Amino acid sequence: MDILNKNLILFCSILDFGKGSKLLKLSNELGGKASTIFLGKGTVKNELLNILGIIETRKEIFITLIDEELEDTFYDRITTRFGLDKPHHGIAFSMTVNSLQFNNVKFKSNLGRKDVNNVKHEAIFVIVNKGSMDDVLEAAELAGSTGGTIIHGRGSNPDEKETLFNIHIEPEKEIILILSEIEKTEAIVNSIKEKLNIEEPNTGIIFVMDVSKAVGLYQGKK
Amino acid sequence: MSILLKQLKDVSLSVFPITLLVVILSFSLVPIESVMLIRFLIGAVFVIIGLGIFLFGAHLGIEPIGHLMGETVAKTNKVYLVGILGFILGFLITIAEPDLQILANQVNLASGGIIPSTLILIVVSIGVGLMIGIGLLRILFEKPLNKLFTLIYFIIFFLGLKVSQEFLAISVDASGATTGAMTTPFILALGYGVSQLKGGKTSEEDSFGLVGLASTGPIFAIMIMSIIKGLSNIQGDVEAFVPNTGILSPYLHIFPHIGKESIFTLLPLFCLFLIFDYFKFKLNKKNKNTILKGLLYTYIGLTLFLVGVNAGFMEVGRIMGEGIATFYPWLLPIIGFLLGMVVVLAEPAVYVLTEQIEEVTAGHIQKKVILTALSIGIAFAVSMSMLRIMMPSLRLWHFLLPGFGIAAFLSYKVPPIFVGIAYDSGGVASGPMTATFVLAFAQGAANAIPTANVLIDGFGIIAMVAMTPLVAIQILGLLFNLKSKKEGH
Repeated sequence: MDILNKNLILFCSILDFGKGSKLLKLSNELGGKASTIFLGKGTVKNELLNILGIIETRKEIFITLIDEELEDTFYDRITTRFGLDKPHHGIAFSMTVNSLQFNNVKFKSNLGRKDVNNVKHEAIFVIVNKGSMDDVLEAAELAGSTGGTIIHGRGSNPDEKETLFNIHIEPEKEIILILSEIEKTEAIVNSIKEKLNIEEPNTGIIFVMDVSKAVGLYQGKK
Repeated sequence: MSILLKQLKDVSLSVFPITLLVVILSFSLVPIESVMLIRFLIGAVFVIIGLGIFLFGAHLGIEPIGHLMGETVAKTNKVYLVGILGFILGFLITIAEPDLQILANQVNLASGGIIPSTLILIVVSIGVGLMIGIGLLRILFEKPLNKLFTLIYFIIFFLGLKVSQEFLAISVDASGATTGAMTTPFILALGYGVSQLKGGKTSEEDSFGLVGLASTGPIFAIMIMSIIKGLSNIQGDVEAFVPNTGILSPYLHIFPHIGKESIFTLLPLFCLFLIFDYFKFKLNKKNKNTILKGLLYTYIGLTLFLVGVNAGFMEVGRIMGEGIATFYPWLLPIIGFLLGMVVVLAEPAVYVLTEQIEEVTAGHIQKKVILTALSIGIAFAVSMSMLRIMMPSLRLWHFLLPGFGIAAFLSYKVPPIFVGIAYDSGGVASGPMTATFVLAFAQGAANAIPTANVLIDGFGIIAMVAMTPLVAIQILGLLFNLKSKKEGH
């Protein structure tokens, strides 16, 4: 139970489909806890491929909990193993965890993490109804984002009581994760807000979380 | 560009084993003319490029169409509409399938002209349509797949007692012929679309099984037809075998023909998409263009693939079969086993299925595992078919009856998702590669063995290929079950 006395961070990495299992193995070796992999799609930034109609590619999203002390080792090993320092090889980022229920022991983290003030990146989460994904990405791009990851999900919608053969159906949702530099976050969020009229009910939600560290972000060519 | 390269690499790796096997055989057991070998290698290049483009197209075009249609159909929220729309979709995509037209002509010949081929086309399409309608309703009402399949195969067994040996083989073969390279990805995506929209506890396992159901339609249709018409013996002869000459001339000869056929395959899907888009989907221009591009790729890819298989692979398959049966007959089951193992890897719809499995289970059931199980299953199918050709006393039902029996039994023992995947794999594995290459190999072998009958022994191979995955994948499910129990989940 030594885990209780340390600060925990949530380490996330987005890689090409098929690399998730390798990362899981590496993470277990390094001491990651409660690792989970799920599937998503990444945007493709290549004009020729876009003309051909290839606009997205399959990705695996990996999350795990690690001790704060392990953070640097994690980044080092994973960056070299998967070549995250080169463009288009995937990204990794981490966020602080505030509370955790693990092995029936409740854990409260120290909220005053030392480097929490010098964050350079933020993670923007946008959850919208299925089909709005293109609008979100377009708006984000206009405001300077370099791409995003799309996760498929289902959600509730208390106002819309849609039933199918008397079975209550949960509307399909798209979760868009955009990692942005802290200076650009506001512009991106506002751009998405305007495009989608997100203030109206039932259009979607946006929230932003602090990222303590990030590697592999594609810097554009400008 | 790394995405394109990766795709090319994946596809090459899947076509490589069969190419290697043929090349090795041609330098050891069955020496073939160098012209033919070159033609085969050109065929392999066509197959690789075609398969790669086709898979891209299926991903961009066919799968989204199937998915959107599944959702739209389910959203009508009326039982009779779901049934009727399912029927119409199934009917239209089946009637245009070139494989089915070839089959209809074969049955017409085999029946001595008593059953007109247009009648066969219509009856089989109705069979598929009905099954898709039933399949969609099954998803919505959450009826268990294993009970439905047991019931269906029990009826087929009963009907099978009434029809002659030969028509048993033809009708079971028909199931493989109708689920072609184009229809299978569509039906897969259709089922997935409906079950995803419905959500709920069983949505994962309900994403599969529709292809398996659809492929039972033709069995019913042809069996019932042959009973009504009172047919017993089959007549006619197999098409005479004309060896090709030159390296490129077979390609030039076959290209326009297949190009035209592929248009007919794609046409119903294209029209259905435009109609549905106009009235229901109302996609924005970007998404619509992507889907249309996808359909175009599917067309190009499928044409290249089929040209490669027909002009390069088929003849070699036949010569190999003949050569081995003449000089080393006792090797037939072993070579058949190896051939079966590698041929399924180059089957287009297999990739669509494995990708959907990975998506539905979030990568839990991996492509490699499914491919291994399928590969072993098809290996046994081809190997046992060779035994059947060598020993006239072995009948098709000696394999099919226990096979389907075991499959039905296993479907109560394995996790439900494997039942759907297994029955879908049966339809998926019996695609264009198997239907041409393995069939040609078997016909060549039957030709060289005096006790075998090319016509009768030729039929039934597709049936075997459609049956063994049911057992192989469900055994895989059993192993999965044991493993996860051990780990204490």
